[in-house]
Amino acid sequence: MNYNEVEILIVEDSIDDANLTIRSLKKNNIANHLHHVKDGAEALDFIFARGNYSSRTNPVDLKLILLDLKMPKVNGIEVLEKIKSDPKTKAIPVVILTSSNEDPDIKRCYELGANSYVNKPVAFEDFFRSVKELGFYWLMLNKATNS
Amino acid sequence: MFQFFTKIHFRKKITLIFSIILIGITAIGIATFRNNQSIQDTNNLVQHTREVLSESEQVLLFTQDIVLSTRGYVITGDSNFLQPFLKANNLVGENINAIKNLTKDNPAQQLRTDTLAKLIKERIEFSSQTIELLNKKGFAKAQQLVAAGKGKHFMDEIRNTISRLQQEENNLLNIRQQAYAKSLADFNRSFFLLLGGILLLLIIVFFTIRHNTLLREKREAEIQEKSSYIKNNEERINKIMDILLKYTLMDFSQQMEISEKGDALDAIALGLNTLSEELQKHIEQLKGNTKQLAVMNKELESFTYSVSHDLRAPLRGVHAYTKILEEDYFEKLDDEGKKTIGVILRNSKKMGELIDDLLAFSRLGKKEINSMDINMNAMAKTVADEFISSDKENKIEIKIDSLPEASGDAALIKQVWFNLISNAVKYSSNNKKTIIEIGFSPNENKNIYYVKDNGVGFDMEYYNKLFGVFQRLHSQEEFEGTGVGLAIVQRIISKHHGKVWAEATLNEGACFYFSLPPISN
Repeated sequence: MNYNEVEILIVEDSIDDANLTIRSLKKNNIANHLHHVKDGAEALDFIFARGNYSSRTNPVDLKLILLDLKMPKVNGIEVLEKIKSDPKTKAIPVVILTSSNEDPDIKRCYELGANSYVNKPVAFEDFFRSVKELGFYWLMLNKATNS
Repeated sequence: MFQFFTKIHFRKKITLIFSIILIGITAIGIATFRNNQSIQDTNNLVQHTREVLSESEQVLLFTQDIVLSTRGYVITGDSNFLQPFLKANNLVGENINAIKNLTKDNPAQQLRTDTLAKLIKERIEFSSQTIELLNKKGFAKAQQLVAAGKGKHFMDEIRNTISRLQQEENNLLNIRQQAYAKSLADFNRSFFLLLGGILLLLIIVFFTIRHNTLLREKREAEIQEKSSYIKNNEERINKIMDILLKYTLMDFSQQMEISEKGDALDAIALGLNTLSEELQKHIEQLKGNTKQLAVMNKELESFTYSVSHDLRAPLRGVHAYTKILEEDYFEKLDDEGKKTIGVILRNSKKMGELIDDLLAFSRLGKKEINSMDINMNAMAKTVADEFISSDKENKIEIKIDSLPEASGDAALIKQVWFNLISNAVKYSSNNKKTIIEIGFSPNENKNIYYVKDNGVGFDMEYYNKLFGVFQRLHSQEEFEGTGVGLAIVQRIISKHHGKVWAEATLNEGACFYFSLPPISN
């Protein structure tokens, strides 16, 4: 896989959930160059082209990061903080995709600069719809990221 | 009478008695004055009588002078003997006039005086005649005239008249003196009576004042005693005040020292000490309970969090992948397989809903209400419109009356409307036409709103289960639902210090009421 071509990064510790997300994006033909990482540490390595991903020397701009919050090692909030505080990366749209609907989480994410916060519903249809919608939005309709 | 007397106020009593004494003294004054007048009058009359007597004596003397001097002249022929006659002749008129004057007011006396005057005039004339006769005809003729007794006759008459005059005067004087004696007796009686009365009143005054001052002294002594008790115990009283002040600041830690006196203050101190001990105990207990509750709350919060995350994730796995199975392998499944997948999907979806509802219900416990003025009409209409717009068959009709504003948390109250209207729609879904009325029932202190439907209603016998968590009065096949909607409504409304209740008739419909505080003026 050429990590330089990745446009969408999925940060999710649950394989099952990741597969659902990927499946939804694929079904809606938005699955351009996806990559999935299993925890926050790996996500940061990828974004900042270090560790296992030091081969990402000439990357295209990431169009979207789908970020889960509850992950081992480095959790979503920390990843968000790092992304949004680095001038090189803070423009990347980050959508928090999580099953947590607790207010403090939502508030903190927006405070840190998350672009959107979407709940992972149990009913698959809704999940499917959510992914489709945000996929379209961030990739196609959101002009701000397309320079 | 005495009872009445003691009830009158002290000052009024004194004023009354002194007024009576004053009147009494005035009365004595008047009586004395009048008595003096009487004395004066009596004196005057005595004087008067004396004068009349004196004058009348003088008249008699003069008359006797006349008689004697005439006789002397007649006997001696010496004109020296006529001197008294001449003198008397001159002067007697004056006396008679004096008497006339003195007896002016007494007609009887006047008459006598006139008679006297006349008699004296005649006697003088007789004497003159006698003298003339002597001078002209000699002694023997004069002697004859004298012996005839006419002169004596006149003299006797004169004496009589004077005597009667004097008697009359004396009578009058007697009468006057008797009258005076009587009036003096009256005066004395009145005087001593009044005096006695005044003395009696003074005695009463004395005892009244004495009684009053004794009372006052006694009361002052009592007050003195009490204030000296307070002064002596000022320190202890202040300590008690300090402790009570601390109570108002919820500090029950101080204890009061008990002196050995065993008086009221000690009793109070003892009571306060017991009270503060008890209160301290209770406060410690409450603190402990509160700590416990805080801990339990924290546990509950983490439990909720856990539920929202950890339960959902695997459930999502089940549901989503079953769905994938259904999508991707639909043709490869037989009927039994399809049915089985349907069951799995249905149940996992249901479980997701249960988790959501349970979370929503538990979250209500934490939430604070942000009170504001709510336009109930607008809110109810917004919620109702959602149902009407998704009502493709135009089965639903929702009437909303004019509703007054209420005070409450907008998000929570919207939830209430949603749950109630959603129920009304759901339980009327078997009808051809669903008619829902939303209205307002006036009440003094609160606003009462209601949602009425014409659906299946419920059996009032199971009323107590209506608002229970996960309690349902219908099966899932009849009407789907988790049984948490009304429980949520009740929780929200009781957080707003209101009440929820309902009435229903089986198969005719139900009406749900809830009360909210009106907007503050």
